[in-house]
Amino acid sequence: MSERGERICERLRGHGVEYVTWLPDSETRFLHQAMLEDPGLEMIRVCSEGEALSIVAGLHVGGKRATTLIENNGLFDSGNALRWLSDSRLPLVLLVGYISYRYMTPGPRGRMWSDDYWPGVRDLTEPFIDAFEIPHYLIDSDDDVDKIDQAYAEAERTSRPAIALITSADGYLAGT
Amino acid sequence: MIQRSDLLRAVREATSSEIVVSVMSAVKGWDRLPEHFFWCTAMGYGSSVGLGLALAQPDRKVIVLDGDGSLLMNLGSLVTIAGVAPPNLIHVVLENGLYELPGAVELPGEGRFSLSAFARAAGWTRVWQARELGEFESRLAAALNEPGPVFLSAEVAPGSGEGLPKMTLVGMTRELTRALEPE
Repeated sequence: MSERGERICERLRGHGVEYVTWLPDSETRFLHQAMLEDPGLEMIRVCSEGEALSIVAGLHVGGKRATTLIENNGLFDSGNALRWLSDSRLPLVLLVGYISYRYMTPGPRGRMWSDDYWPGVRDLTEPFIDAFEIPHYLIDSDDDVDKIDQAYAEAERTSRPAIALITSADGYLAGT
Repeated sequence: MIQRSDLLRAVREATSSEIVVSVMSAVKGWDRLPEHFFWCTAMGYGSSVGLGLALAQPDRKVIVLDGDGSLLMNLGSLVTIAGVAPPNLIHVVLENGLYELPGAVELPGEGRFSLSAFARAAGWTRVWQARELGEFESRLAAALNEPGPVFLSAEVAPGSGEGLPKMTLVGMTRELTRALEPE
């Protein structure tokens, strides 16, 4: 099992998280495997990312701490739920897989897909989240796990959501 | 067919400490709903927010007031909820075959689909329908006293009910959060 996955689970539990609303993706496979092994986290499988955001909100207002494990493309699909969550001023930290981060390179207008995969195509993950004025934290190495604490601190300080963008820790390729 | 204002009054009279979650168009006639334990969700996501509340507050019934057009935006939630099967969740769907707020525009495929059939196919075992107010009142009373989840479809007349809620989203979120905090 991934050590980074275990460490992220430990941090989440440290912040009182009991539930994870989850729609699996290849980028965060290492993490959902760790979560499924963690007896302190209850995984709720959902059919869409908008559901994942809304269930987490209901849990939070009801007094239970929860987070998501969803992918960035699904976040695009749930813009209205994200807007509502932010406008409700709920201090949630959401975990979002940064699909194919490793196949992109920084460019003048943000991250660009490499020419081997999608020449000339810009990734919209960070610009999309920025449009909601939601802070985001990249978790791309073992050292980055500490940023989850920063995300919680910022969410509490502002009474608004924060997002931890998670990249693969095991290099798993989709469908393999 | 049930007048929406009568249905909302029936919900208010039947409830005390239950949580009521609604999507926007289903709550025209706001003044007939409980003053507390109320929350408006993003378009289509009443059932999902209700599921979260039901899990967090297992000793309290959670009533979701949904619209048919709204539920069509989030049909997958029927599958998710059936999978979790929270016994304290009551999903009321006000069916009038319309997108009410933009001026009573007919739903796609209206008259050819059944949300109750969707719910049964998704795995809900308690799926009830009410066409008259008395039937709705008795079904709601049963749902409040029996384990769920219950899917209760209500055939409502179009166009009834008054204005939309005056309270802000932040205001109702904070009020509900406070109301649910342990004493």
